[in-house]
Amino acid sequence: MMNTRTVEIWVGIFVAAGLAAIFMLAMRVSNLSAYSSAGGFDVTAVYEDASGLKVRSPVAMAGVTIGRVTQIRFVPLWDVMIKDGKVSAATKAAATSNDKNVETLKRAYVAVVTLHIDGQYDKQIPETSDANIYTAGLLGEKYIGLLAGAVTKCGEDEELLAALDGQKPAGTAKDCVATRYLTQGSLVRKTQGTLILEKLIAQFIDKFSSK
Amino acid sequence: MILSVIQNLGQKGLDFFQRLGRGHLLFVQILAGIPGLIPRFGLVIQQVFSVGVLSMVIIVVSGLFVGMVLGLQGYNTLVDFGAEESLGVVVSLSLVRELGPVVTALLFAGRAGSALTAEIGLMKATEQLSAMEMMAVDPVRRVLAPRFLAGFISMPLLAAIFSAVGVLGGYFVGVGLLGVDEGSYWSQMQAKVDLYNDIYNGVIKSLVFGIVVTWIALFEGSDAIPTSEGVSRATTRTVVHSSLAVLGLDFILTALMFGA
Repeated sequence: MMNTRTVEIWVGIFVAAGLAAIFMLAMRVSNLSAYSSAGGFDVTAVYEDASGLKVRSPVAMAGVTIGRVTQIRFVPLWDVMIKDGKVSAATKAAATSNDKNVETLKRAYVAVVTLHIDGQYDKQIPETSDANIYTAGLLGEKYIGLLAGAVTKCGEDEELLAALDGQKPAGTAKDCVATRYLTQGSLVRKTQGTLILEKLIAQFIDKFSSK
Repeated sequence: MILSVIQNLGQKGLDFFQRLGRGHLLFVQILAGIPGLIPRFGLVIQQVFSVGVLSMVIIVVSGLFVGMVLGLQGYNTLVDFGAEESLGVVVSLSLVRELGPVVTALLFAGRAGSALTAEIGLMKATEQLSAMEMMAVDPVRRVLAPRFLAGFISMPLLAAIFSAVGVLGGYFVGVGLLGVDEGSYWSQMQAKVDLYNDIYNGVIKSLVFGIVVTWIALFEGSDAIPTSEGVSRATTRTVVHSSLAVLGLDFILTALMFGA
């Protein structure tokens, strides 16, 4: 029988090797490094169709992964609009009445996707950016590609934002800066959902058959 | 004639359920004995040495070769699709999710489980366990519980070593011999292997296998007929039963973890 000291040293080496192996698996093999970036902010994007997109799908800008999808929900379009402040007070009041348009909006459902983006890009990405769902390669997985939009200076390009919002952005120059770049809680307005091959083909056939 | 066949069947059934009951009672007794080990942790360290450290050589060698074979086979399949860059994903996912925990548990049953059964069976045959009871030392607390805890501690560590060495083995073959790009070997792996879904679940699997294999080994040892033949049979049963249990449980765990 070996003496206790030798045994203990060997056990120490064994446990250290085991922990080192777990550590190596976590750091080198898995995507732990993607989690490690402290902080970050959540933005929302609304899609008519988010099929193929999964929680933890990458969010890329110019091919660089800058974040992950953290949540995909299915909610009435109306809720999104109210939260975004797109609906004027008069319309809100009308909501209680049986307005036909409101009814349609309440019945229209959309996919609301929450993107978690690294903290270092906070207030760096213009709010006018596109967030489209792309496919990596021919058979690859879906990801969200952000395409930087025009940087709007405060007091300029009001009509562009107005066109996007459906109303004029209010506020002073100070919160104008805060609203021009994506930050915690912002909404990406220009989005395009998944392109579904079947739908495209159907449209194509439709066009031909109508001729 | 027919009656005796039925009687035989009944006897077998009763035997089976008695053994099952004894096994579970022993499990509860062992669990109850674990808190008492904290002041005497040296006993556990001694057992981690014989259960874990001595199994390390076989685990490292087989991990290396399993990883190398995965590298070769994966490459041959993937190269047909022009997807040999994904070799790292194939090697690491199969190791971390399945082969790491399962092959380690099978080797562990053969290397450490059989040794545990033989040791305890011989202790019983030579009446060492009865002698302990005579001295008012509870053999479950003194002999079985430290071995159980040692198996519980060693198994996930061994499985992690197996997977890590296997990933390196796949790296040697894929990148070293077959010329897969080094960067894509690691980066594709990191993109596809998830810490929680894959590595965490693999560790949970190996913990479950550690409990089951050690439990079966200890039970067979303490339930062995105290003769040399009885001990040899118990040792065989340990390896057979724990291998079957590991493979069966692996299916259930995989269905629960990755099925949905």
